[in-house]
Parts: sequence; C-alpha cells; structure tokens
Amino acid sequence: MSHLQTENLTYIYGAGTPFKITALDNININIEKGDFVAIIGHTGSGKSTLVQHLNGLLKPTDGKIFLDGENIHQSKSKLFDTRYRVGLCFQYPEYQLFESTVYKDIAFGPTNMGLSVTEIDERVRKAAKYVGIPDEMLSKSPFDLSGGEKRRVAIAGVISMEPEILILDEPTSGLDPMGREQILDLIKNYRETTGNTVIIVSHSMDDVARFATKVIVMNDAKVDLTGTVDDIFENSTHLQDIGLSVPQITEVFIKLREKGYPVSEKVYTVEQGYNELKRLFEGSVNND
Amino acid sequence: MAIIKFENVTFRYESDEEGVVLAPAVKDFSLSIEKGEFVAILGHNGSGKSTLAKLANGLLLPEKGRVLVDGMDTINEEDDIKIKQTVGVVFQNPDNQIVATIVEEDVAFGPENLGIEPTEIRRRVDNALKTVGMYEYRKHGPHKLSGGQKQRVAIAGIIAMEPRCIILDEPTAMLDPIGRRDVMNAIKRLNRELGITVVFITHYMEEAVEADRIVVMDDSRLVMDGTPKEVFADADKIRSIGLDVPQTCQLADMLRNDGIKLKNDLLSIDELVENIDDLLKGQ
Amino acid sequence: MIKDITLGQYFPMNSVVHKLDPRLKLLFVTSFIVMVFLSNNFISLAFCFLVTALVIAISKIPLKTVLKGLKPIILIVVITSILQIAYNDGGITLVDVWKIKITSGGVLTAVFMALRISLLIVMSTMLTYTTSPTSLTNGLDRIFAPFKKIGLDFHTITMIMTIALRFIPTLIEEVDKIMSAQKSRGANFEQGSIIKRAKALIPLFIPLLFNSIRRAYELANAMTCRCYNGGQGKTTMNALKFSKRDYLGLLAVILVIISIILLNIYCGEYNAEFTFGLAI
Repeated sequence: MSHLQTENLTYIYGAGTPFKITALDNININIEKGDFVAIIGHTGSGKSTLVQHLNGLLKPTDGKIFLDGENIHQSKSKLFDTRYRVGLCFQYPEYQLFESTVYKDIAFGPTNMGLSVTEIDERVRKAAKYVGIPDEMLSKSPFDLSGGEKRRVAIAGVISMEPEILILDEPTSGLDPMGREQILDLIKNYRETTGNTVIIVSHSMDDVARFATKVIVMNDAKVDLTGTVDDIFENSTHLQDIGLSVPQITEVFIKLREKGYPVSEKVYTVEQGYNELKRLFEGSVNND
Repeated sequence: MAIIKFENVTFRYESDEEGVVLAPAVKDFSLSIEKGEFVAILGHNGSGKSTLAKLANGLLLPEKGRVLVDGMDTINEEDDIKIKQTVGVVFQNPDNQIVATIVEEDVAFGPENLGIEPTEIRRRVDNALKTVGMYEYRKHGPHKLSGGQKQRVAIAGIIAMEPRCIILDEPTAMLDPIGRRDVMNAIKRLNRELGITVVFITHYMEEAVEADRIVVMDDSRLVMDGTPKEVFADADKIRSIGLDVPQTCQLADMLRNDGIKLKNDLLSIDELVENIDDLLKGQ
Repeated sequence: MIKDITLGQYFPMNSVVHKLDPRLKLLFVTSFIVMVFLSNNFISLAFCFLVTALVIAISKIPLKTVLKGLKPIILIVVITSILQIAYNDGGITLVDVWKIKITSGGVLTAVFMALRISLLIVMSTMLTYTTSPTSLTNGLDRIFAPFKKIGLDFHTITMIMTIALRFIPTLIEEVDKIMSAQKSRGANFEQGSIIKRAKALIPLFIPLLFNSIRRAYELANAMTCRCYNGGQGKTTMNALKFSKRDYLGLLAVILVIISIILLNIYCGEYNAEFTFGLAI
C-alpha cells in the first residue's frame, strides 16, 4: 500500500465563474515510505497547488487523497491529523516567523498539537539540531537573524511537528550558492537520520538531481513525467522545452548529441560528464 | 572619466542597539567603472555587494572615502537629483519597486518626478517598455504579472529616466528560470544596444559570465577584479570564498588535468562544446 | 469576502467613459450622488436609473461585473429596507398580523431607499472601474491644487491613496499565504471563542506587519532612486486637458443635473397611495 496517494485529483480555481482556471488536472501520484521525491515544474505548472492538497490545506474540486490508505477529508479530525503528519514548509518561510524568540517559533507547531512541555522542549531542541541552529540562538529574536538562519529556523518550525512526510516548497529560492548547499545538505541529513519521506518542490533539476529517488515533472496542471532521475534525464531536451532549467553540464551533452556524438542522455553531474567525455576521447583515439 | 568611482570607501550600518558598533559592510573599497562597461559584482550574501548599489547613487553616504558619479561627489546634496538621474538602481524584489497601479503609469513615475514634458514622457515610456519587451502589457495592472515581467517593468521605470548607468541588485534572485532568462536578455540589450553602463550584482555564476568584467567581493572587500576568463581561471580561490565555478569550467579543468588539450578560457556551454568538437575532429 | 469588494478596482476597457477627464467624472459622480438623494419621486429616480444604465452601456463593462459591486452591501440594503418597512406606516395597510403591520408607504419607501443606495454604489463603482487610480488621484490632485496656497497639501494624501491601492492585491495575497503557512503548523483560525480567535490572529498579523514595514522601506528606497521628492515640480504623462469630448461630456452632465432638478420640481414628491395605485 502506498504511503501517500492521489486519485484523479483535480482542482479548479474560481469554479463556476468565467475566470475559472484548472490548476490541477486529474493527478495520480504514488509516494512510498522513505521516498525522496522531487516535484519539478515552472511557475504556474500546478506544483505548489498540488502540495497544498497533500496536507489538506486545499480541498480538491474532484478526486481523493489517501494517507496510508485513508481519505484525508474523511473527517475534520482526520484532516487536522494530516496537517501534523504531512508537514508543509512554504516558499520563503522566513516571512512567516512571528514569535519573540526562535525557541517559541519552533515550538508553535508542537504547542498547537497539544503536547506536554517536556515533549515540546525535546522536539524543539531536536529540530534545531537538524537545521544547525545552536542552543544559544534559541533565545534570540528570529528577526535579528541573517536570511539563511531565518530560513533554517522556519524549516525547524515544521520539522518540530515530527511529520512522517516533510514537504518543502522551493526551499533554496533566493539563497546564494553556499546557503543553497547548506539547506540541501540539512534536508539530506534529515532524511538519512529519520528515514522519513521528503518531498521537495523546485523549478530546477540542479537542486534535486543528486538526491531524489523519484521525480515528478509537472506541466500545465498535469503530471508530465514520473520516474527516477535517470528516467527523467532521458528527456532532458523536453525539460528545457517546458521551461525548466537543467544543469549546465546536461546542456553540454544535449549540444554534443545534436552534433552527432554518441554520448549518454543521463548526464547531470560533473563527474558523470567527465567519465562520459573521457570515454569519448579514448574511444576516438582507439579508432584512429 | 569614470562614470562611478569608489575611492577608499568604508561604510557601516548603525545598530538598533545603543552602544553597539557594527563591523563595516564595505571596507577600504576602491573601484572605477568606465562608461559603457558591463560589470558583474559577485559575492555571497552579506559580502557587502548590495551596500555598494546604495552607495553608488547616494542612497547611502560613505563613512570614509568618497563616491564620485560622473565627477559629482555623492555627499553634495545639491547634486542629489542629478546623481540619481545618472545612476538608476533596480532592486531584488520587483513587488516593492512598483508604485502605480498601471504598468505605463509606473514607468512614467521617474520622468514625472523629473518634471519632463508629457509628450516626451510618453515617448520615453513607450521606448522603455519596448526595450524590455513589455509594451503590450502597458495597460495591465502590475499584480497580475509574473515575477520576471514585474522586474522588467521595474527596469523600464529606470530606463525611462534615461540614466547613463544602471545598477541591478540581484534582480533575478527571486525569479524562475524563464523570468531569469527574460530579465537577463533585457539587461544585455541595455548594454549592447543602448550603450548604458551596467553594474550587475548577482551570485549566479552563469549570469556573471555574460559580463565584460567581474568584481568579486568577500568580507566587505574587493578580492578579485578581471575578465570572466581571468576570474574563473582561479577556481580554487572562487570556491574558497563560498562561490561556485560554472560546471563547464570544472569539467574542462578535470579533463585538462588528464592531458586532454582543452583551451583554458572556456566559459560558456557553446565554447566548451565547440572546443570538444574541434579536438575530437582533429584526432 | 475581502475579494468581493470591488470599490476601488479598475476595469480597463476602451470606451468613451474611460477616456473622459477624471475631474469631469469626479464632478459628475459627486453631483449625481447629491441628485439621487434629492430625487423625491419615482420618475426622477427612474431617470437616474436610466442615466446609470446608459453610463454602464457606454463604458462596455459587463453588467455582471458591475452588479458584483453590490454584493457586499446587500446586507445593508436589506436591513435599511426592513427598518423602513417596520417604521413607516403611511398609505394603505397591506398586512396586519399580530404586531407586524406592513403598509404600502413602508414598502414603497423601502424600495425607494434600496434603489437609492444601489444607484449610489453602482455609480461610485463605475467611477473607479472606468478611472485608473493614478488618473483618479491625478484628478484629485488638480482639483485640490489651489488649496496648497492655504497650506493644505493634498499631494501627499493622493500619493498615499495610490500606494494603498497598488498594494491591496499584494497584501491580500500575502495574508492568504501566511494563513496557509500557519495552518500548516496547526494554527486554527476558524474555531474557538472570540478571545481564542483573536489570539490566533497574532501569527498572521505579526509577520504581516514586519513584511509591510520591510516593503515600505524598500519602496521608499525605490521611490528615492526614481527622484521622488514629495511631488515638487512633478509633471504628468497623461496631463489633464479638457478635450472636445470632455466639453461634450460636461454638457451632458449639466443636462442630466438640470433634468433631475426639473423632474423633482414638476413631478412633485411621491405620494404613496397614488404611486401604489399606478403600480397596480
């Protein structure tokens, strides 16, 4: 049985008005326990709308969402339960910080869950550790932190609910290369330590190609492709066509293929590119 | 004469707390930007690069040293409007730069403040919107546009003041790939077709390589200054200050170490592909 | 709910009404509002109704969009009408059960009031639908320019209006986003006592406040970079100049006002019994 599943999920904004927009069109996805899923799509492809359905924030116009086989809209309590079990961290989450201290902000979720003080304390410290926020920072005001720190505090605010599935919408947007690496590393570590399911939403294959076990490509309110990273990169030209960025290295190999060289379609890291080109150069030497 | 000249500039922000003195955001910084140049300023967050944008048109004033805009010292208040008209600044968040509720009325905001004749404003607004490819959206409300479109409107709002230099402070940081590409194209057009001096602050390497010159900031200071090829040739130094080297450079580096005779000034994807193609054909 | 408010929204179309000078439109709407209040019989009110219909037709704005503007005030109209029915006991008694007495006078006054309010709202909505906020503020700026001599600076006020209008959609979007984010962390905005609900708004308002301050700061910087100095020596791209069309418009406005005044004088105050008789 799959962990999280959608069945013919459809969502229409402004249904019944002349301005209606189909944001999701008959989406069927399956996510297994422990998956590291990347949902890729350009702005407006429906990817953010999709994840807001997965934790029950938005109610589908049509279709169902199942968490461990149970419909999340079955009852009100089930729905609240889902919000805690499927943690969703929004884009630019630092703009939602509000408490007087970092500690209290991270504790907001667990407090809403009605946990005991000791349990909350344990979770806050654990979450802070996952995102690399040192103890002495917990008593600071979140508004005094740097941009990257704020982002990590905000992510901790979702992790502290200890969700079985952690969803992050564009977690690296607006960050510089170092900040981006930090966030991706902490997500990777979090997943390895907890074994929890993680879903990352992004418009760049760059961020996720190295980690994802499963990729869902969205385009025009529909699921365009699903598969492993390798499967997806077999269609790298198609990714560019639908407005997604692929790693620079992938572009190099797309162009080499266009020139007629027999190089692999599944190149997305510098190492892969290096091996592939070495093969090519040695091959041509041998042929001579 | 340089269009912008930083002479030994030091600047620090005031702390909210009393008695606390913050470390300088920019320290002993000297740089001369010539007319018509396309300069990229690279640096990670907090390196002081955004402060430069505000110092360059008198939005902030240096604590030590001076900033000259076309020979005018930014400290002289009587030149303030002239300085701001000479050096326009576009910021990161497009939402917080658009004042009016209609695209063309927003673009007209700058020239209107300068007291320019209505017919001339009309001409400038139309031209500016055409330059950034937003002319057909001139009657739209800005809130209905995408991030990349809003940013191009913000750029048009600056072009309409007909500045000789435009500074863009991470204009693509909040955009998706399509938005970034469109904004990048508009910026290149400003420099290549209109001859406007462009100072482009970014942390995206792929974008920085488009410039004629790259200035690297680290820890409030200038640490590197040269053509993209010169700067990226020192990959280790770039990486040591927390920045990336374009993947093409990394790849070429690795292959060269194996004795494959790739040129050592390859930056763009096309250059690398061409060079590989040449080598393979030659063999 | 917040999305239903259409007053202050602009609906761009290519029509004569859109092109008219904002000063003329401001003059017209102000005098129209006065005229509607002065209308004391169904004939002059019917005339006002006709004028409104004509304006809508010429503006090319879909009727449905115009009527949407009435949605948020339906409650006000209904309450006013009920009060009128309850307190007015002139004319023929229609219903008299237990303590409820409905008279033809009450019903007519209620209908009259409802029509009046609707006309006011529709015409004001038409003003903002057909005039961009910037052009509207330009108009206000010019109308109030003479007051500057006596120390009243309206430019600042109109600038604030423009910025407010510009940022309303942005803030609505932001409220929506912060609410969703806090809901994802278990915040509950819908249930509980009033105090509990008020408390639940803190996680919404604090970030909203901080973000707005940041926005204001960035906007101020951007405006300074675009040489804004409080409107001194400012020109306008779409400089307001009365064209032939505007003079024709002015003529029409004057004719409408005169007609309403004449209708008021010659048709007299409405007589509940008489009008009701006519209606039957």
